[in-house]
Amino acid sequence: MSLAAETALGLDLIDGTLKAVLLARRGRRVELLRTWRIPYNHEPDITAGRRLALRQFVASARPGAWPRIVVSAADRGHFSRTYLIPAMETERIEELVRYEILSALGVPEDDLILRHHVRKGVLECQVHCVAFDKQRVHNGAAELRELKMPFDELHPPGYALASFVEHEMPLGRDRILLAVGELSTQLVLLREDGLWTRHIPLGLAHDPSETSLATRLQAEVEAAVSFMLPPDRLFRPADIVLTEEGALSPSLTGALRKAFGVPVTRFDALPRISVGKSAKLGDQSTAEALSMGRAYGLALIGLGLGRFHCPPLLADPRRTSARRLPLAAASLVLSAVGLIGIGALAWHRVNALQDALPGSITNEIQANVAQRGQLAAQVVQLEGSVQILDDLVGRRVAALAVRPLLARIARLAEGRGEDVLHVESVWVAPRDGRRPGLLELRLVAAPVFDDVLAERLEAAMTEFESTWTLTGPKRDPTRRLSLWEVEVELP
Amino acid sequence: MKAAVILAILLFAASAVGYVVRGLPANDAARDEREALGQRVSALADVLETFNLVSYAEIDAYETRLSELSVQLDERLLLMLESRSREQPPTLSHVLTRSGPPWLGLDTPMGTRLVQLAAGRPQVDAALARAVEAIAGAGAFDLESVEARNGGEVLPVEAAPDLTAYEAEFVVLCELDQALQILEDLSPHPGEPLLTVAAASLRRVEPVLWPTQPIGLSGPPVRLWVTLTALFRAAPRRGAR
Repeated sequence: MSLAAETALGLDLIDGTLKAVLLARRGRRVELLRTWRIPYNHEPDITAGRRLALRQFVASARPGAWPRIVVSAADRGHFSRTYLIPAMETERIEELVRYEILSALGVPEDDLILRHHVRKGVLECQVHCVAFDKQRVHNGAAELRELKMPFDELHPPGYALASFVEHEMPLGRDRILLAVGELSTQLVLLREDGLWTRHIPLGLAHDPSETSLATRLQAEVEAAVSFMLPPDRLFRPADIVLTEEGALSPSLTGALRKAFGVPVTRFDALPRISVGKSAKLGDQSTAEALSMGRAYGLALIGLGLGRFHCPPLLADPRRTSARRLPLAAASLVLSAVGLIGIGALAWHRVNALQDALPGSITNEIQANVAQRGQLAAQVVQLEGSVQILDDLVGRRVAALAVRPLLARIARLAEGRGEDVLHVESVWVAPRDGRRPGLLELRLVAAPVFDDVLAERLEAAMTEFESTWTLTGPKRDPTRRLSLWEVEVELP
Repeated sequence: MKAAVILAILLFAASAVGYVVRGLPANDAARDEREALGQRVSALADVLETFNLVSYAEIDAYETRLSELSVQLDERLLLMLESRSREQPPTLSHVLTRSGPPWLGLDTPMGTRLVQLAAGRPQVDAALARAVEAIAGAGAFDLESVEARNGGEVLPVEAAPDLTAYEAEFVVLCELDQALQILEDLSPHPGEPLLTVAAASLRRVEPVLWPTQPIGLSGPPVRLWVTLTALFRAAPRRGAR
């Protein structure tokens, strides 16, 4: 059984034969999967026979939780009408229906199960009503439970028959539906404005002559039409749809045609229900499998395809809940897988984050940075030390540079007699790391040197491979001498 | 079907328990790891200032440079601080007791001053002895004053922890040629202490300011201010190669 398909089992227990149909619905397509047919009218005790047939069916079919199971309610003594009433509020309709039914039956409300369905129109509403003997319905349900036959709903069999016929052969005109069984006949009068059903305790077993049976059925139908249908509009059936065991008898078909004077339609095929090759029909003939109109109708109702909707007489919501169990289980499994997956993903993420930048690499980088800093500091320190030691060489250069410079200047005064040219002061500043060494001389000279000293100094300093500047002469009025300054940049 | 549902419930319960036991801690751990990763990245960014990684080649280059500098420094220290003479350098008292100019002597004010500056410290004693020996050897007319710098302390040389230094300023009255000889004698000679001239100036003394009794003065006097730095080898540096 495919989980994608919706399945429904229609079980018809009335009328001396257990008939069951298992249908599957995939979208708009309805497929016949299996049929069962277990006659029990030959048993002396009809109730014991029905129970035996039901046990046999349960053992054979083993209906599980998945298909929606709709069982026909025993329709003996039921009441069915269609009221045409003006459009009004839902509560008032319900009250009106209850009043009408109770007035018509004269039975206490507690003894009945009342159901109705409103087909709303613009000006007036069709209200389809049924009333069932509560005790009989509950007894039927109890018998099903006792025999471990699960069910979702109990439905009126007449509505099921009407749904099947309208699903397979919609006509849109007045028609008579006759489900002629071994022990009784289900009558459904279909009119554009309503639906009326009636149980007729007259079946194939009651009259061996088909002609006589057809005549008696014609009389029953005529009485039902005059009794149930509103007299304001004529009922002109276009045909008679014959199902159940009566549909298997060609002679009854002909007799009915003669008795009613209208065509009789039987189901030689199912126009809108496909019968697959895998359909299991058991030991039934195809005609037998196709003559179970009520069972088909019940299964169609279970699939939500009933044309004549009627609230169930009884329903077992636990099966609906149980049908959700696979979905719930699947959700739980998916949730479990999701939780496991989330946990696994979280650990994967933890590992990925740990591997992204491990602490060992961070520590190594930080250690390297620290080592680089220390090495750089040590290099700077040693460079400073080396620089200082190198500067000591500069100090020696500075100390030794004084004498040659003074010797050159002394030579400038040679041959000048008493003309004054002497060193006033010497300042020696050896180089250090920040500035070059400097040798500064201040000379005092007689004014006669003013014009020649610069030229001679320049000639004298050419051999001195250093940058030097000469400033002067400046007058020293107190001594009538000129002041010169020589600055030599030492290597 | 009931068995399947029960199995599903058990599986869900087990997975829920597993999620509580392992999944939730994993979520917490993932959050913590994300924060820790952010902190590690921030810490690295703080350390590196930029995201330029420290290469091992850079560290190797630093180590190579450090090694080269260490060798250079050792070579320079060896050249400058290792005496080429086997003679023991004279002490201050030995220099002061030699014959020479009148200002030289243990009992003279300058001798007393020098001994006071040495204060029994062998390094300072040797430095002062070396300076006085150079000044007296040049025949200076007078050692007018000696002032210790830096409070007279032997201090580590900034940026050169291998060395310590002592500084003092000497004021000498002498002839120009003597002043030049003093400067040349005080220029660095290998040996410890290594005396160097940190700064010097000399000024001609006006004749009116000449000493009244220029004994031993054969020419016009000059006044020499010389700041001497005596360098000593510090204790061996840590990690020296």
